[in-house]
Amino acid sequence: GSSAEDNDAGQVVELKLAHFFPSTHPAEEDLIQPWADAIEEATNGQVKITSYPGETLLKADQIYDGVVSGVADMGMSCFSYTRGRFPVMEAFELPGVIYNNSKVASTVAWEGIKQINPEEIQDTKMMMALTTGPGDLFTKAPVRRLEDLQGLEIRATGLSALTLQKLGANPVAMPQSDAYEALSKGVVKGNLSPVEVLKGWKHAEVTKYLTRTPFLYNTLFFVTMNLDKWNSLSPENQKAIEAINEKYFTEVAMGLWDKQNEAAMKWAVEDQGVQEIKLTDEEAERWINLVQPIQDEFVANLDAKGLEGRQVMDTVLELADKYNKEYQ
Amino acid sequence: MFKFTGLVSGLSRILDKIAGLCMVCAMLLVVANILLRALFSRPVLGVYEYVTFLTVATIGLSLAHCALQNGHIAVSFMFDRLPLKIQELVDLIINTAGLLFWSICAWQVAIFANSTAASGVVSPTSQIPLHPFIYLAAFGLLALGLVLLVRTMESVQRLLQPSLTPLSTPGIKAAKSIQKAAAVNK
Amino acid sequence: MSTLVVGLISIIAFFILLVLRMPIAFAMALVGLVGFACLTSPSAAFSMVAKEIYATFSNYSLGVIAMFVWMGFLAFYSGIGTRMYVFAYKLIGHYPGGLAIATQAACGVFGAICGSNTATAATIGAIALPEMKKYKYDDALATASVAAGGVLGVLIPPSVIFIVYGMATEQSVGKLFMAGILPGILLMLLYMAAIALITFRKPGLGPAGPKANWRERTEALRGGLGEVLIIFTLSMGGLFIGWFTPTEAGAVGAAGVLGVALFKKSISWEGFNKSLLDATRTTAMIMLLIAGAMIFGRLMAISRLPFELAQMAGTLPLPPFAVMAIILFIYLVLGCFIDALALVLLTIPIFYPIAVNTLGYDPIWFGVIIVMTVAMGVITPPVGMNVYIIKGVAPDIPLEVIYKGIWPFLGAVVVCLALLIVFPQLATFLPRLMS
Ligand code: NA
Ligand code: NA
Repeated sequence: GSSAEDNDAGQVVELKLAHFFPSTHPAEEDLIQPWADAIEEATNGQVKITSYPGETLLKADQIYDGVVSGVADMGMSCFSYTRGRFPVMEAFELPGVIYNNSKVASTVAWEGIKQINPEEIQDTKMMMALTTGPGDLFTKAPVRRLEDLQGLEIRATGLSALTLQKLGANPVAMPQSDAYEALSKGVVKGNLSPVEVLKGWKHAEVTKYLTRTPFLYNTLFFVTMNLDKWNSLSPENQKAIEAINEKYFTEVAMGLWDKQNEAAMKWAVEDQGVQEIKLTDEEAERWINLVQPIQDEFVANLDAKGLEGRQVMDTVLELADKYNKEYQ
Repeated sequence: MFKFTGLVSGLSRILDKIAGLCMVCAMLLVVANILLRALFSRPVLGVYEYVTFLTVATIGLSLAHCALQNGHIAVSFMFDRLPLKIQELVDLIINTAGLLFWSICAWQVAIFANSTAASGVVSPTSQIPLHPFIYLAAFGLLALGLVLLVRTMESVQRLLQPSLTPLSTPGIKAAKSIQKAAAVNK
Repeated sequence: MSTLVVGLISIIAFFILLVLRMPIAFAMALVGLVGFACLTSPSAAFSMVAKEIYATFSNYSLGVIAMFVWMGFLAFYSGIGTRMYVFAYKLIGHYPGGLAIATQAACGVFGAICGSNTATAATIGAIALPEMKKYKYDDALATASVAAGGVLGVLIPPSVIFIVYGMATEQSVGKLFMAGILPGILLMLLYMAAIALITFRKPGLGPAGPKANWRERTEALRGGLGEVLIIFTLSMGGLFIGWFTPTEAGAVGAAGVLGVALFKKSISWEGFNKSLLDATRTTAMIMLLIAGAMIFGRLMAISRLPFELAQMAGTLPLPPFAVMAIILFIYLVLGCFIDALALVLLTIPIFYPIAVNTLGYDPIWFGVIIVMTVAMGVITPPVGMNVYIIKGVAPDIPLEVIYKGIWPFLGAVVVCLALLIVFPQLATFLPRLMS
């Protein structure tokens, strides 16, 4: 039992944080570790966070629930792994919204979450949200126009599978762990993912072309905390942690994937000879028009659940517009 | 008692049959999808999720029958040397512990299914609700608990009437279908 | 109470339950639950156990084990396995231990289709064990050779553990696969040598049969190997051309065996039903074991025992090879209690930076070494997943008999590891060729 009084008396609260990234991944090395150290320092050592990377404590799709039930005290994962549980959060991953980079996409998400403050995440204390930013198409044969994509087998799961279907591609759903072999042998001819995957999962070894599609894909990550554990902290410690959260969101989290994407892109182009393809504006327009209905379906779906679908969608579009101008 | 034992073994046999059917379906589904993909370039989206659901059914529904055949293996060599009375007593304790443990697991998995139903989680691609399959797993564990209840009752009986049946060690009583079939094949 | 103490007590409690004849999967799950409850809260522990059970049952990559196991039983009940062994017997049955040696080749070849050690052991076990029994091979030799042969399933690509290692360390899975080929073949040859040595000293363990002439051999070939070749070419070729992924290969294999058996009318309705019965029983056992191992693994993670051990090894003031030796020793000890896959997931985050960044070892080479060491763990007592699998396939053979036969094969793995340490090129040569 660690109540607020205990903490004032100097008792240390030890928190376990579960996530699925490998221990050598920047999410652990550049974000979680320094952020945890900063929290320990800011709370004079009263809040101590131990990270369990690489699914050692909880599997990726169990992390949110695991934080609610107290298996872990904190967790970082994707909302979309438990599809249907976070209907509003899907707004930040919808295709047809242009994000220049992960800075824009992350800021839109974090600010959007604060503004909308949806019911579905009230059972934990959100620390921060960040995104991969836009994903691109990496393929074995060049995709320069919509016609090149018709009937092409592309690995994608969840919302992305629907997106590719609307574009006329042939989405094949399989786990990311199967994708390398499948690409290598040509079971699928491409993948829709953040550029980071080219290096992280070595997909650049088995694909040749990269078509830039900054309007097709985004994945939203959360860092969250068990509500009882949060409420047990003293107000001073809570304030200190919130300050650290904002600092690390701006300085590290929001641009984390941009840094990785750049490094992956450099490696893919220079070492693996991957060729970058940029769509013309007219071509991009055709693609965006085709995926637009997914946004309308999203709005209708939320409305059917008695949530403000249109308002959520407009918030996302407005914020994207605003931050695309700020972070070019 | 005998009626109950018969009921439980009948139930687990039926469940195992359904489990086998699910395995056949999973195989056919994977092969059909490969053919559709390789020959007609028209794979069924989310097949791997369907296969996953069928796998849950296969495993969940065969747990009880596996236990009935003493298929869940144990280490027996050190214990066999103890006096029979002690063996029987410890057997009773272990069986009761197993019964309690898996019944609690069944209950907990059902709670997990409840909360999944409430939060509306669906599979990412085919968007099929997950909770029916979690209930199925819970049901399989419950059936496993029933088999262990039979085992516990048998332990009690042996302890009260030592002359009734000799103690069966796990593995000896286990299905020898392989050897039987080997004879058939010859 | 320190978390480490809880971890240690849990291991002891697990041992006691084993001795008391509690089924192994139950013991691991029960100790995992209670230990986890001590370190967090009962409600958190219950929630962890419930989710872990469902997660294991619904794991797509583990689901393929069921298909491979069924394929093995189909091959057995349709007599395809029997005909395969008749041919092998005619070919090399006149040497002592010839069939066990042929079984190693079967494991190696099967390893090229299947990426899991448990599935390889179960599939080959279903086919090979009844046959070796028929030819009066010693139980310990027969079962142990298949349990050990299953390891070839993860060394020879494709391999689940290499994929997990590649994912956790961001190394090229393709290179890891290439790196596993030569050590895999080497280990297979060492196994064969071990069998030859055992049966040379005690010919009664693998009795030699009459020598067949070439006419008999070609006859046996036409009778049995033809259909095996068709199935194998289909599976291998399909994988190579890119018709399906390794995870789908199990279903293709089962369909292939069933198709051939139906075409040749060599399986009865009864045999088909029995193959399903045996396959579901074996799968249920394997999956409950894996679920138990996962739950126990969660307890180990939260007790921080593996992490502390690793940290300790990394900070010792010793030369690199000595630290590496300690790391391998820790793997061997942990491998006695934790399943291979869980062990790689748990320990790579700590050992990898030490071995590669601090000590300067080649990451691909380290991957092969780790896979081989944890593979050793699956055949060592008391928690040896492959030994359990074999016990599940051949329920009437006591566990201790299988463990008794394991030692020569364990020796072969040690020799293979030593050769890899002395000649790292065995692992690094092929991947270098690739880039
Ligand atoms: Na393999
Ligand atoms: Na072991």
